[in-house]
Amino acid sequence: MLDLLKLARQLQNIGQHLTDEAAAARQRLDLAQQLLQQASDRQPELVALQTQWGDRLGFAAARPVEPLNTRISLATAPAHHTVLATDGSQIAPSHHEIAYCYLINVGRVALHYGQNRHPLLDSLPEVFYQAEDLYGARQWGIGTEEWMGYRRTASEATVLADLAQGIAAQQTQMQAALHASQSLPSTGSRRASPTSPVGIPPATAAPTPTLAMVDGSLTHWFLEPLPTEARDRILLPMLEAWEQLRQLRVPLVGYLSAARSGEALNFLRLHTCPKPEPDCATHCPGQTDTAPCQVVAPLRDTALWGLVLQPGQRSALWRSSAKILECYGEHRVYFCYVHTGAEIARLDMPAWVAEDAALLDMALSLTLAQVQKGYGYPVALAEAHNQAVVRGGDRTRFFALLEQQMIRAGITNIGTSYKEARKRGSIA
Amino acid sequence: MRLPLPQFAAQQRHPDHIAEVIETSTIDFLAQCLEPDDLNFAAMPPFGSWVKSVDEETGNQIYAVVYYVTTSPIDSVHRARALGLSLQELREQQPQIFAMLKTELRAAIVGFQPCLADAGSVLGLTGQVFQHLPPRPPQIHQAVYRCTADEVLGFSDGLDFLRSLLQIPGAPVDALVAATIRDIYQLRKGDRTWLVQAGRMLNLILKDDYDRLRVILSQIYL
Repeated sequence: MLDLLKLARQLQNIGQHLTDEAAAARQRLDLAQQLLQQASDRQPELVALQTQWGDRLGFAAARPVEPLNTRISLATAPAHHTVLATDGSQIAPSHHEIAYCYLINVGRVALHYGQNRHPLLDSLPEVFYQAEDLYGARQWGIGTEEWMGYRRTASEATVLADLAQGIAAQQTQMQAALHASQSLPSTGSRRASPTSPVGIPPATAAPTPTLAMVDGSLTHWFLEPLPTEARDRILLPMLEAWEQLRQLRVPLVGYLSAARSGEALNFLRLHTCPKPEPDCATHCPGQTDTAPCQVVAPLRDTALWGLVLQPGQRSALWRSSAKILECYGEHRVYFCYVHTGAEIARLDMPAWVAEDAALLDMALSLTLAQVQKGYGYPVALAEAHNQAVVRGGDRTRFFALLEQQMIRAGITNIGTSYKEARKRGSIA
Repeated sequence: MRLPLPQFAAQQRHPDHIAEVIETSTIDFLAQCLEPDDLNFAAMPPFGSWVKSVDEETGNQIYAVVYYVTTSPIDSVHRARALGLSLQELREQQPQIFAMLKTELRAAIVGFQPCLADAGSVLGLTGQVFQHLPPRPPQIHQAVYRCTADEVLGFSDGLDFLRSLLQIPGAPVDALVAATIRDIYQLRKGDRTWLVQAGRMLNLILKDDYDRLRVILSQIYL
């Protein structure tokens, strides 16, 4: 029970605090805009500094690969395209439940635009109950629940790659069928007109532009402190899945709504650094957050680019420099900010998307179209989430099924813990 | 262990196979209309049209009349919103909408045709049609078919089903009876003798309620 009367008194103070904060944020924003202008004048110099002192920096600063003041209007998406997305959800393990196990549910979505095809919307559940799944990660000091979260990330990537593979196979099949029907002029022309609805464009040699989306960042910084063996269990399958997408030429985009990152603004700290050289370890040891170069904190990147960009424009591309990316190989993450009309979104993508102009343009324009079609958030991601999400009722039904199964297997004394039993029904 | 994607080649479905029973009871059943292969809303059978399904245990072919259809979102998260787009624009720009809606029909059971194992015919159905409730309704997940014209004509040789239609709870029964008679009358190409019989039957069932009879009869035309 939340006592709203007691809470109301505290809320007044919060209001006052937030007003002060907003004023300060406006000043920081003005300052950041000036700094961005100054930094873009000496960008090559700053990039050289970053390359030289990169390993001595006490903060993660992304490196711009295009001029800082880049503003590019994104092209309109073609009417004929396909968008794939996956998102995961889980039932966390609990000792209070009838059995200690966990479940990962990955929702997958394939939306075909302008092709008059039914979308694919479903979810793939997988239950983990073997001792190795539950306690295997303990040897690296990782709790079961945390490990489940990591495995979910890997599953989302593999399912996405499988989906892309399946859809690509379907498209080849459909195109072959279409070609076959066209090459038979006598029956083909007669039959093609009533069966092929208006939406289907004539069969072309070009493959349907396809985009793969995931929710959230592609930079999995949480893997960084893990021991190599544990990290490889997550990272390798994920990178393998990304490689599959690359082979299929399906660009991958990680969509971040309300991104909190300040990685691009951190680059400006090279400009504001008052020391002769940005050697944090020598000049400002152990004070990365209070260092003299930190003049706009805690401003976020999205706030600054909200001022700079017009709706439908993207910022410069940045090469992310999180430590974990050194293990990503060819899939190192790049990002840019896009004014979607609703908000400033951060789009993460692997290097092979960022470095291929055609792939990049397609990925960005399809992403923008997704946001517009979804009224503020990509439809495919929203639906993937809806497919994945495990609600309270689903959870209850899962454990009810499990209980039946356990009774059938002849296990006695099945029941939730006493604590859980009292939570679900208490005594008046 | 992951499931493969649904196959591109659509399975061959009988053209009259329009729905599947998802809730069943002695007097009526609820069926969900099947999604068409192309991007379109599920075909909604007309009010007062005839459908059939099977109770597999007895082999009875069960006849029912559609008295309620509805299209609604599949869950509470999705709500239909007026987007101001034409159906064609929706198909091109918001194809997921077609997967977020379900169309359901309710059909009142009006009679059945039993099956004899040694009947010899392909379907194994005897010719006899009973216009009363079958011992069991169709099972859940049974296919629901549209009835052919011949089946409707054969069934409507008897008129006891009109009484069943007038007794369905919670249905617009007057309009339902009118729609059913009107459709059959049109199907019989204006068979006046049949219409007079049906009118007499209604007259008997409704007894002194001339107002209702008049309203129903006024809705019957070719």
